[in-house]
Amino acid sequence: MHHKISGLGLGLRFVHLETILQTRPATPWFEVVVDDFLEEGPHHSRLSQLRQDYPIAFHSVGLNIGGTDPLNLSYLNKLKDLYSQFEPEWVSDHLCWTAHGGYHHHDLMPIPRNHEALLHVCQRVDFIQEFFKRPIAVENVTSYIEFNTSEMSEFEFIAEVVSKTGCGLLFDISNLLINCSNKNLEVTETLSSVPLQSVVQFHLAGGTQNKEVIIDTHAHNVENPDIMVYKDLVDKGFDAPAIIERDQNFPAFEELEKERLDIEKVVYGS
Amino acid sequence: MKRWFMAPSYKEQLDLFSEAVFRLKSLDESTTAILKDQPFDGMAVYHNNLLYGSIDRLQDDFQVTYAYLEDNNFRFLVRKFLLEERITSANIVDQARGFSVFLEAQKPFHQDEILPLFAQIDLLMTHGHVGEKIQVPKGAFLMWSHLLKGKEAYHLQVDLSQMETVKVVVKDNTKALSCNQAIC
Repeated sequence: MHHKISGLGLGLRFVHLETILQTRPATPWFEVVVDDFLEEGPHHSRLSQLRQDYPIAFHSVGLNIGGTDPLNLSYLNKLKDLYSQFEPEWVSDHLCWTAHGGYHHHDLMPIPRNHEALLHVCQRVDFIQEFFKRPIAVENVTSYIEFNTSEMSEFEFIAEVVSKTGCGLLFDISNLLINCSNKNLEVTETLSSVPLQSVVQFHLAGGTQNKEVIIDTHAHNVENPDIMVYKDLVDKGFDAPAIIERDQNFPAFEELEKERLDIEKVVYGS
Repeated sequence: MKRWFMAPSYKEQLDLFSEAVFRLKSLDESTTAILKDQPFDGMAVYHNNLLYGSIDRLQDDFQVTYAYLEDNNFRFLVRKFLLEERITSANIVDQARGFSVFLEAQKPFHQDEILPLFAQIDLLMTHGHVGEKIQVPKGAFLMWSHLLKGKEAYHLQVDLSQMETVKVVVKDNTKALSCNQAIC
């Protein structure tokens, strides 16, 4: 896939939107959480203004790819309208479930990684891609439990999904490192099972240590090991665009942009 | 520990897991049977994400309601809201709307006429569109704006027999509420 987007961008958050529009920073691109734009309002015109100067990709949290409830057609239609309106370079969501039995968790819930789940997930990715008439990218998530019925490792499962559906992978480097730490998995071995040829985008974020567990809070600066994995992948030629995600404990935009520039310097050396 | 004679289906596992997260308490045997090792710490992460994520979001959306109720009462009501109503929409704004309706429905328990009014005004402030308006009893907006600014409001009165209009406006490029020429 050839895209206008390259380099290290940022996740767009409302708290920074006005500053970005006023200061037009050198950030190369923004990832937009499309769920923030489901309702009409003045924020749509603000996004249009931003779109004039920056390429964007859309990221959603509500497709419920791993869920067993029927896919939400009104949600899918709304997203399709927003894609037409704002023309993001690509769209992504998480390889997880977010709703069940009509109730929404607004969280990224883990999948039992077995063949029944694989068939189910692939059918839903196929449907979504057919509906949008474009490939999507699926993101690896953190998980804090393991199901007894799991038959595959996380990235064996993901590799099967991308291979069977042709979708891309939004590879969250920080999520991999968090899962390795929480589940005592060996990082190099886990990295070797990632289908890197399918990576469309990287995510980087800072988690929070809570007792024995690291939680994917997006509340802190990106940790050095995450940056080193990103650099290593870029050095090896897997130079997909990346963003820093920040969802809590927001710094001023200037501070976030400085963190981005610092990481960019480490990774690209300029 | 409960043993499954046949491996539970994918959907059955999601049924159990989802229910366990929404119950916000310890796991039953059926749920522990589908999970590896000691899943209690891991389940606590999902419980906390649901509870504290909702508290944080709703606290942002209902600033005056939060200040009026104070922290413990607000948390109690959000927890009750999650246990009784759960979240029935993918749209996060709908959770805020649902919470406002929930507070109104709690009136027989808290016996407070003002609380649902503050929730309505908070909701208008955070998610109302420019030009959108609501009717509230006279004095409610003044009391709400005092609390928003962190001022004392105990001396103010709400007259339930008279109504006034609160409207979403734009002031200095920022969304604000106006009522009887007062803007907040």
